[in-house]
Amino acid sequence: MAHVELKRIVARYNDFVAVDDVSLSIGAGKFVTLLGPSGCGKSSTLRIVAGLHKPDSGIVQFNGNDVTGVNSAQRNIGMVFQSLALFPHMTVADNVAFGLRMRKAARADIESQVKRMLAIVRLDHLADRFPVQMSGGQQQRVALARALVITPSILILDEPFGALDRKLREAMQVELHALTRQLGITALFVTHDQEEALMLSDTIAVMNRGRIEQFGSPEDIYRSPKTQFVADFMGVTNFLDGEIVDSDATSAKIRVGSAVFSAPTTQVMMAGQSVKLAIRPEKVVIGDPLSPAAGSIDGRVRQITYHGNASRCVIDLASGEALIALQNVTDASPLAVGSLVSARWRPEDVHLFGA
Amino acid sequence: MMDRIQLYSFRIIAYALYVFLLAPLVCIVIVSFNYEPVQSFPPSSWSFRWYGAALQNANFTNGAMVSALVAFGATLIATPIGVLAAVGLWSSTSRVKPALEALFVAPIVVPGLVTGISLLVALSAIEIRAAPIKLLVGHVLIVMPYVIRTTLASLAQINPALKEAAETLGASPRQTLFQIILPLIRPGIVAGMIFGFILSFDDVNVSLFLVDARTTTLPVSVMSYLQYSFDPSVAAISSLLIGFTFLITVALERLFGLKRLFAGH
Repeated sequence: MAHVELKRIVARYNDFVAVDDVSLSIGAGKFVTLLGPSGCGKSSTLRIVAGLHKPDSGIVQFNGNDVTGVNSAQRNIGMVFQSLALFPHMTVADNVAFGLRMRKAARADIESQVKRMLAIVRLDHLADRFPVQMSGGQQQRVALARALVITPSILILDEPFGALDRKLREAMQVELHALTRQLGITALFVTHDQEEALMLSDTIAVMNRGRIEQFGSPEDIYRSPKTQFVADFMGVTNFLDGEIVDSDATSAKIRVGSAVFSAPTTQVMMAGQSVKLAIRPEKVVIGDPLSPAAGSIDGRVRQITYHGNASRCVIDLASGEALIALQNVTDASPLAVGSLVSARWRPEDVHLFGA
Repeated sequence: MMDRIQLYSFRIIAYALYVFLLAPLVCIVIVSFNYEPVQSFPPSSWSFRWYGAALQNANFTNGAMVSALVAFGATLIATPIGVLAAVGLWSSTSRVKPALEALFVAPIVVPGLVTGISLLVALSAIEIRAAPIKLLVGHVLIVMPYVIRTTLASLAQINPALKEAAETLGASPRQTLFQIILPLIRPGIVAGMIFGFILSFDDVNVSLFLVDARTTTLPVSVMSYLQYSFDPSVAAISSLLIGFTFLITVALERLFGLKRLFAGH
């Protein structure tokens, strides 16, 4: 288990800058996730930590030692690939034993280690199977066991659950969470799935265009996104154009169309400044337009879709913008497509970004 | 109704093609049992005498020995070179990779005649005159492109992440080659070796320029024999070759399953 540090990493592919001056610290025993859309540089960053790609500049440190020039085979890492990359011509036991054999461990030692690791991932009864004879979830656990048996400095996972169906995926997430905490292992995880990132991570680095937009705990990232991109990526899908009317150090009044809303701020903002108000769909409350409350905006329901535990309403506003609201289905809501409604939210549910 | 007509006409065409391909082979086998000293069809009376004659013909037996040794030696030399070339091409990200790939399989495209003459000229220029060596060099060129092609086909089926997985687990490039890549592409290598061996054993065009009076391959001696005599001993030796090839095919099918071999799994 190691403390891993990235310092000012830059990686280019021809003219394309995949990783643009990324610095990142992964504490010993911590689970860090690189989260972002495809092409954001998360996989390139991961490959640089794994030693599968050499950065154009910058330093990779394991426990304070510079390993930038050390190739993958000497870094003592455990990696779970997106395609799993199990060796198809080897049994499960041989797959798991491979890393130990490369380290020239004693035969008896290899045998007991493999046994122990297969027991941990609950595959001890399938040791003699070949990967093709196993289910997706079982193959996943073999890949994990193979990466973990060598007691790596860091466990690196490249979207390992992408190919699994939803139910299996959730089961594997729970398992991975338990396993990494139980073994106290340092882990670097890459995904584009925000829920997965929130659930598994101690810390999340949200990446966009080769840069880290925000680095913080799941609560931080979810509750107080620092940039519009992070907010958008973490499921805040409503962005309304507004203009500051008045502001002090902790709150601001913003005009959106004919309505005025309050929102918390961390600094004084200039009156007249254009801003974006971001509100999560589940925080939008839909009410009756005939009894308008302060800080509400009127609109017309364009679409209602059913999502099991909630209905999703798309509301057209006078400004031409659309607002999405998730409504609890248990609410006795007489909503119908085409009806006039009034939408509001609590001031603390608004995130403000400079437009 | 239309479907039936289509089905039957398809079948008829398919069977016609089989007949077209196999009839000459059946014909030559039948002719080889002719008693008369001419290759006439159908034979008027039957015997095994031409098999005896063929096997007592020193040109044929020596030729068969030379062909077998050359094909075997050439396969032995061409396989490691071809496999390493294929693995190198597979791993390469170079921009000249397609050009290199074309270059390596070029001997398939160049007419054997041209290869033969070029080798004759080039090898005498560097004072290599021993027919066995000349033949070996020529036949390495015959076998190698097939090994490279079938090996590349096998490599194309391998998930490139396997190589990286081995690397992250601490394997050196050599360990990755021997423990991961080679075991996975073995069917392709074996297929290429068999292809190459048969084509080498069968070759006339290249060999024609590289043999001498004392060292001649079987196909070349069969050809020169045909220029002076037309007795069924040639049919007999051909029938033996057909039987030999058939046996190899059956053995391979039993051992590996030919479909698997050529599909590269």
